[in-house]
Amino acid sequence: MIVNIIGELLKIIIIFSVIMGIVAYMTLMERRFLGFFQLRLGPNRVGPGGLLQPIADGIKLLFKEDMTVLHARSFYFILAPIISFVAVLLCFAVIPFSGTMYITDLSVAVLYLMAISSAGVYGVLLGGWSSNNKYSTLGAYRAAAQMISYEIPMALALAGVLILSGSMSLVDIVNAQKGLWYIVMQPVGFLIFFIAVSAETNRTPFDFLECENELVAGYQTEYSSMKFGMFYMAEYAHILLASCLITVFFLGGWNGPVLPALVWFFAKVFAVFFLFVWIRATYPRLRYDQLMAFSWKFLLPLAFLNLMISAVLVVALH
Amino acid sequence: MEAITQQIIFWILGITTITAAIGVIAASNTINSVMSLLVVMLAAAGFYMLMGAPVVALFQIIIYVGAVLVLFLFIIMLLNPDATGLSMSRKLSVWMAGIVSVGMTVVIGWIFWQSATQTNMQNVMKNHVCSCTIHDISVVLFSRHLLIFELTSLLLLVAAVGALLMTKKTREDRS
Repeated sequence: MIVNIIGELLKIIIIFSVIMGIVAYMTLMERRFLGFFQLRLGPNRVGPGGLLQPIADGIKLLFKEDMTVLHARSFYFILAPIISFVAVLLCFAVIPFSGTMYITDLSVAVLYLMAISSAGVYGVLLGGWSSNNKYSTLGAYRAAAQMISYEIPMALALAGVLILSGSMSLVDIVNAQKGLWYIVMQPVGFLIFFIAVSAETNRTPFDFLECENELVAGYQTEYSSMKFGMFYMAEYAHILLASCLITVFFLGGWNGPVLPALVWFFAKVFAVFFLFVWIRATYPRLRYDQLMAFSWKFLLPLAFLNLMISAVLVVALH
Repeated sequence: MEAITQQIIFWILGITTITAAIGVIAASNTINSVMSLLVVMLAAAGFYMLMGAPVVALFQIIIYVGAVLVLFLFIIMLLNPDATGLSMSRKLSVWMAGIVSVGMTVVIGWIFWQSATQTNMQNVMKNHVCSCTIHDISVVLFSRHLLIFELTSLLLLVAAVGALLMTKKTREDRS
């Protein structure tokens, strides 16, 4: 009993540290890649090839003055970054990195993911509102509306995957993709999920909540020091989570020939993350009304159609 | 061991729920009320989990925490009723709320009394085994509860049409 608990705790601590390490280096990867895309070098001064840059950034953030502006509602002001960060981290509890490397395998893992990740919107909403600043508040409204709107096509795209796998456990879903990845059987579902997840993580074609030329930095405007750092880490952890989810649901998870499972998993995650950076470097930001219209008038009907066709096909082929 | 753990979790959840529920009606600030309601919803999900119904618990979080309360918060932040003095007419709403809550208390008390005294109700709770694969849920949903399921979808459709109608611009608005 006691040994079990200690073993589980060790597993959680190891996975947590690995995730935090990856999150720190994702910031460096994104900045270097963006540099190359824009024909400049990016941060390469700290350590060999800039490898120590995330550590320097972390130390810098810790030593900055931690300000709470006078007109802020201080309780929610402090609570908001914590909610954002915890909501994302909790989701990693069900992500299977390989056949044996996961914290837990829930039979309702997909529902769990949707439930916990939907709590993340409170961090943004409360952060923007408690700053008591018009730019922050506007950013928070936009973010909340956007995140709620894109959650629906995302869930519908996932329903297609659930129909094929017949299970809500992520381990079962990956095992069901041993032969053929779901990206082949659900190409439209993959596209919808990818777009919706970019909007959920507020990546560039959809980054309305910070939108620096209109809103300064959106809901983060009044934040400084490690409170800002937590929002920042939550953002990158969210992107890592999105890459992991796309890998698990559509790219066959840890399945692959020759190489060990963990290598396959992280290679796929890295490829998806690279795609995110590529899109950020390529596309300009949409207009806000276009973003909402796109979700409700195009993505949602398309997701319904996709769900209906896949359900009919599964029943017909049985 | 397991029974004791369950007892401890039950008491923690129970005290949290009652404290937060008092917070909902006692808080002077509307945002504090909504956040207390959020805690109540999460604790209720914890109760469902404790009763061995993880699917209900997770849907509770998805629907209430993920959608309904976000909209509450959204509207309250947008209208800011504390500052603008925007509130319902007090007299009628207090009476209505009083009657409804007394009625609900009676109904819930009756159900409690039934489950405490009748053995077959207790057996229902004991024999309840959770099956939460997609197959089992869909079989139950589309056979035993089909009527309720369809009626709910009709209700949602009516609500959606109503919402569209309310926001639709009439000819006078446009000119």
